[in-house]
Amino acid sequence: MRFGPHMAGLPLEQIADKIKDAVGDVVVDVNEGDRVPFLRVEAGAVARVARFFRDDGELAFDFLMYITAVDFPDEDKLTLVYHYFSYRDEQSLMVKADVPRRGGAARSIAHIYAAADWLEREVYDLFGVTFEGHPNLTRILTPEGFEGHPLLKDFASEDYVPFPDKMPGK
Amino acid sequence: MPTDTAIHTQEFQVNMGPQHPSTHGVFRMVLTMDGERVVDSEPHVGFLHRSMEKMAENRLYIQFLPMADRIDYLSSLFCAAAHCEAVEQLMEIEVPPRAKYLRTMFMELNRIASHCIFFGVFALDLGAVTPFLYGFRERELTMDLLEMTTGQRMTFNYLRFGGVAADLPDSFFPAAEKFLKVFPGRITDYERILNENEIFLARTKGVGVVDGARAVNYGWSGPNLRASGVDFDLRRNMPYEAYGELGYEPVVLTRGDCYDRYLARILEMRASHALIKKCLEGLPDGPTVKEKVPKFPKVPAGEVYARVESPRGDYGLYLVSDGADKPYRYKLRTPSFNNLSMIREMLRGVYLADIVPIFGSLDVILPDVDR
Amino acid sequence: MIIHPVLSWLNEWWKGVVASYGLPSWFVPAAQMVVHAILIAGFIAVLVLFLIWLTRKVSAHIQQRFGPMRVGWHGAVQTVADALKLVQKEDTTPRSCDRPVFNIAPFLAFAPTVVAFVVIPFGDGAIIRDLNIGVLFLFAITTINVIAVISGGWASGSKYSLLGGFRSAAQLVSYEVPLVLSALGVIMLAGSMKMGAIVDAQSGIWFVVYQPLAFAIYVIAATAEVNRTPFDIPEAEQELVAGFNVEYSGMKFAMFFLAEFANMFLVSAIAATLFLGGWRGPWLPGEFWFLIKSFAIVLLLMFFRWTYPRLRVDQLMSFAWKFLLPLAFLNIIITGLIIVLI
Repeated sequence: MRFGPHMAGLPLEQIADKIKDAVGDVVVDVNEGDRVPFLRVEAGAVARVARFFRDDGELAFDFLMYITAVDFPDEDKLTLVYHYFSYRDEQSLMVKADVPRRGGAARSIAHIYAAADWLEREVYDLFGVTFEGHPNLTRILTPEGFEGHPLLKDFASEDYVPFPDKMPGK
Repeated sequence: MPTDTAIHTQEFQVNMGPQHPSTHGVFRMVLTMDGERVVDSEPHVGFLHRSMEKMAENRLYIQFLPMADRIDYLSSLFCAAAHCEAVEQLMEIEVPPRAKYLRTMFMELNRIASHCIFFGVFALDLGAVTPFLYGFRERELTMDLLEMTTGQRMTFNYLRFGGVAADLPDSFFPAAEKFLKVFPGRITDYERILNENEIFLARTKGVGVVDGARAVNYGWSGPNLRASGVDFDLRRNMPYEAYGELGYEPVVLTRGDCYDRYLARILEMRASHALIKKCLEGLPDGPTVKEKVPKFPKVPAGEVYARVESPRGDYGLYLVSDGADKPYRYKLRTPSFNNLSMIREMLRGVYLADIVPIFGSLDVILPDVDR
Repeated sequence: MIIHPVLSWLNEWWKGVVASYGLPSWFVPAAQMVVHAILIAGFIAVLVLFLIWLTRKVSAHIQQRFGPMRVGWHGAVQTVADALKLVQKEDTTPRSCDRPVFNIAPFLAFAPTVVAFVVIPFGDGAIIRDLNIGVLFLFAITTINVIAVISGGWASGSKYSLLGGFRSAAQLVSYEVPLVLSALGVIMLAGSMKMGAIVDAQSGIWFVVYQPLAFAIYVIAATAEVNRTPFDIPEAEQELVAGFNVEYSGMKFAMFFLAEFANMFLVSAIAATLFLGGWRGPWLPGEFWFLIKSFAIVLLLMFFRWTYPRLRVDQLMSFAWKFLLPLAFLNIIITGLIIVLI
């Protein structure tokens, strides 16, 4: 699946400028990327950017493919990744935002893109990022009573024992 | 509704699952019912969470390849294809044309197998027991072809970085000819059993109608979305493997109810059959795997998003590599997760008996949801 | 032709025994009743055994497979094996159940079916009691099924069973009406409710030729009365996991199961008697014709089951009240007009 300059839709610089006009000076980095172009924005602005993406007529980013996070323990940050796609222009764009590893938070976009409901629950469950304003921020994939956030790099997966009081023997 | 009757009614909660004959896997729904109507539902997923993404971070790329098959075991070639494509894009490996055609042909066979199961199980959920066995009979034909080539009937472990693992044996061509000749007649049989059946139509037409724009907002993809009128198929719009040379016209329907979602998959089986025929006729000669691809590749740093059109929808892999021989972040974008997230809205106000066709028509596989 | 002479001979033999041993006079009818009861019970037992095997074979061949093949010739003894298995199963009782009702419900499902066989004409004169109100008696007795199903659903103490019981009650009661009305046409033509008289009235032409609409309505309503697909919502495995009998196991479950198959044969036998000429037929003894016709209808019901999906509850109800019922009335009016005018 090769992305690149043959796609339709506005070029990245222009999208960044439009965001600057509509939302404010939140774009931190514009990166063509070798394969997937992305914009890095401030963590507090992801919801406003999402609303702008959905509503702006020129952009038509109607499809939120996924929300995820990438853990960079050396730089002590989690990078939230929102990957948008436009069916009309067949354009794909990632919006990245950095949040701290412990206690990271962002505004929820579940009321803008309905797909974000479960996607944000998954990021909360596996990474520990809270989404303010989410209608039902509970664990979705791990079992009830699970503690910890498994996809963080320092989650002690080798000697982690779930439900230790229910284990037989010791 | 008269409210001055002396009869006092009460809503009650019914638990559907996690063990239930028609929830296609381990899925639990807590339904709040008012008589026969569903007032609200609370889906619980995660029973099949195997932490595939975490496991991928601790395994070499080639080690994870058989495990990728098991993410969605009914469309295992697609999951493996996404894995291989991501690595090939980062390492800039070009797949030889014969391997591309082989990959395409077997992916379409896998799609037929998956849709056969959908057909059988959808009819079974509605009470018609016989189509289930007919669907499995067709699936046996495709699995015979796959077993001849890959040695496996379900999770094939057939793709390799830069090509496929093995070439077609000589016994493949007569068997494939026979399959291609017999299969369209069988699809006609299926259509004759169910498409015009009064009872089937009464159970599925107008049930679970989903508007196209709302579906896109929920992140739907695949035949579900095309049944609601959105004309997008990765095989035509953003072709990969050999789809660009073969050409493909997607199946798009307009009403977005359970019947359309069912019909979209039946018609897709026909389209896949045509594609397989084209693949076999135009199969180029050449190597089946690119030479000099390291077995334990060290993938250069970077990130890539590889997308394939799986039978459930838009399956994608977001791979972040830091130059090591294990992935740094392996994010699976599975279509069933987004398809299932709309279930709460879809079930509001429907009859208890409508839950089954609505849920069945989504063709959700729980391991795909939970990874 | 076979049964009646044999039973008459037996009756004479009893009278002879009573006369020569000086037994009281009520001994003859008492002995008669015992013999009849044993015959009916034996017949039903063998019948159900055969029907279960037949179901499995028919469904298998429709689905391109073989069905039971190992236990006996082509699986003929399979049902015996299954029955033995069911008998030795643990009889689980849910804690929250209503124990007396829970225990009685299976037998309440089975008993009316057995009683209804009293008025079925198996052959010429081979009817245990040719009641004057034969048809009425049949429909009245089979309605007791409703009580059995509701009791089973309620007493299990589980929400799924309760839902299954409600649905079943609604379905059974709704389909009783077109069922009885469709039989009315036949009664008007025959001029009597006696089962024997109805069969005699078909000595020329079977009533299915005069009453095709009533026959169709009867078959559909009968399928609903015995809870078979497309009307098997009370037992819809895919939705309610066997509905009202989900909490039953072992012998009690076997009773419900037996009752369903016996019921299926019962409504087929009634259809054969009312519409297909009962035991009438050339050169074979009447009993054989009766069995052939009944099994033809049984096969028809089996084909329905393995071909059609099932209806939703509200569709089922509207089908009964808005479609079958007006048609049944129409049938009666037309029959009446024809009888008066011709």
